[in-house]
Amino acid sequence: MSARLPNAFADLEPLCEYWLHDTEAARNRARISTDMPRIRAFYDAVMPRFDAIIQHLNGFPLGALPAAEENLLNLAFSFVEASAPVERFNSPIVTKTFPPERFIIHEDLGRSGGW
Amino acid sequence: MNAPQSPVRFPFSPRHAMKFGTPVPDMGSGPIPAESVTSPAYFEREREQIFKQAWLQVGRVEEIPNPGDYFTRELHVFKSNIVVVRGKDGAVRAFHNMCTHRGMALATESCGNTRGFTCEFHGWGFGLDGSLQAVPAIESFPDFDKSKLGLKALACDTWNGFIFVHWNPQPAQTLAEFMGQLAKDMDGFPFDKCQHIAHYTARVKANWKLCIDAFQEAYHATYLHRHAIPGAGDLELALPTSVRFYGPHRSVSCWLKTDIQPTPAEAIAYKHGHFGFVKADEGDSRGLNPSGDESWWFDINVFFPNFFCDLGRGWYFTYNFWPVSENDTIWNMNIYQVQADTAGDRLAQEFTRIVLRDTVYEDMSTMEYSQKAFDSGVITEQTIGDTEIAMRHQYWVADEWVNGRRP
Ligand code: FES
Ligand SMILES: [Fe+2]
Repeated sequence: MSARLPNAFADLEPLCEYWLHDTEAARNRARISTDMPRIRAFYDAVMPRFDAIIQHLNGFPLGALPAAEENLLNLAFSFVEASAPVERFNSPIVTKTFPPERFIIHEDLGRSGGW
Repeated sequence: MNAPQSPVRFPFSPRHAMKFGTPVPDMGSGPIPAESVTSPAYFEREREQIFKQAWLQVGRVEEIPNPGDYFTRELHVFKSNIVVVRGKDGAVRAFHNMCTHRGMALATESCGNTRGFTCEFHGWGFGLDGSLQAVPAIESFPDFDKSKLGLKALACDTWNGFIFVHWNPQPAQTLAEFMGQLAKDMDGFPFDKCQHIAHYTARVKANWKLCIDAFQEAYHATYLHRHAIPGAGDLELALPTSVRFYGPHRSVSCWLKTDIQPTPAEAIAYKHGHFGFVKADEGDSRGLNPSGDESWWFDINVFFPNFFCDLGRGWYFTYNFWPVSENDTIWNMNIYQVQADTAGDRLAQEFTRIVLRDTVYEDMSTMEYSQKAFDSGVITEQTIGDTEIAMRHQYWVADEWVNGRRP
C-alpha cells in the first residue's frame, strides 16, 4: 500500500482504509455505518496526535495543501465526526428516530438551494 | 430602537429573566387549535393569502455571479418551477420556468450559464430579461404579438446578498418595506465575509408551521438536545433571553451558559483555530444581540413566512421551510462562517458544523410525531408556554394573513 499521509503520520496509515473520505456525506456515512468499538479505536488513535496534526497542517497555505496533507486534513475531519459519539452521545448516530437516508448532506457548497 | 424592556420572570429560573424588546401584540393566550396544521382547505388559503402575498427567499447572489448565470428552484407552494437569472445588465430577475408557447421548461438543469433561453420543444428563444426574441415559422401564427409572450415574471429583489421573489410581479410592498426593522437591525452583519460551509435538506411529513416551531423555541433544547449539545441538560440553557416582534417577523435571542466547556477534542482545535460553537470573542457584533443580553449565544431571526437567518458571532445559518402540502414540507439548511485562514480554523469550524448538524438531526425526529398526533384527531390543540411565545406569534400572524389582515 502506498503512503497516503505525510511521513510524520505514517502510524495513522492503517486508519485510512475505513476513515479517509473527501466529503462530509461520506465521512458521516462511515461514522453511522459502524459501531462504537471501531469509532472509539479511531478516536483513541488520533486524539494523542491531533495537536501535532493541526500544527503540521497550519504550516501550509489552506486551499493549496499537498496531496498527503489534504488526506491528513480529511482524516482529521473524520476524527471530528468520530469525536461526537465518543465525547457526547455514545452511539454512531445521534438519534435513531429519523432515518439517515432521509437527511441529505449536500456537497454543493456555494449553492444554497437544490431542495 | 426598542421599547422599554419589561422583564418577565419564570418561576423555574431563579437566575434568569426573559425580556420583550418590543411591545407584545395582543395574540391571545389560550391553546392553539390543531386545525391550522391538519386542514387541506386551510393550507390552500395559506398558499393564496400567505405565500402569494409575501416575499420569499430562494437563494444567494454568489450562486449567480456572472451575466447569464442562473439556477432553478422547485416551488411546490406555487406549483411552479422558477428560474433566477443574472442579466447582461447585472440585474437579478426571476421567471416561471415555463415557455409561453406550450409550457415546456426552459431551463432543464438545476443551474448553469446561458446567453438566453431556447425552448427545446419548438425553439422559441427568450432573452435573459425574459423577452421573447425568436419564434421559428413566426408567420404561421395569426395576429402574433411577441411583446405579449415574454416569460412570466416574479418580482425579484435582494437584501444583503439574499435573493427574494414575490408571486406578484408588482407587489404592494417592496422587499425593504416587507422586511422592515428586523432586516435593518441585521444590516451590519458581515454576510459578505462569510463562506458557505454546509447544506442539508430533509423532506418531512409535517405541516410547515410545525416544522418552523421545532426551530423557533428553545424550550426543547434542554431535553431533546442533551445528547448533541454538552451541558444542555440544564433548564437554564433553554431559556430565550429576549423576544422581539416586528410586524409578521420575530427575533429570539438565545442564552449561553457561561460555564459551558468545549470537549477535549474541541479544546485542541480551539487552541489553533478561531471559530466555534462556544462563545467567540471576535467578529462584527453590530446587528447581533440587540437586547444586549450578557449571556447571549445567538439570535433566531424568523422572516415570515418561511425563512430563518440566525446570527452568531462570526457565523450564521439559514433555514427555508417549503410547504408541499398541509402535511409535507421540505426543510433546507445552510451554514456560513467567516472565511477560514488556516487548517486549524477549518477544523474548529468542522466541530461547529458537526455539532450543529447532529443537533438539527435531533430536531428532525419530533415533527412527524406531532403531525401524526394532530392528524389522528386525538390531540386537538397545542398547549404552549411563554418560552414558546414565538410559536404563538407564528400561528397568530398566519391566521391574520389567511383572513386578509396583515400585521
Ligand atoms: S413549448 Fe416552448 S417552443 Fe413550444
Ligand atoms: Fe432544536
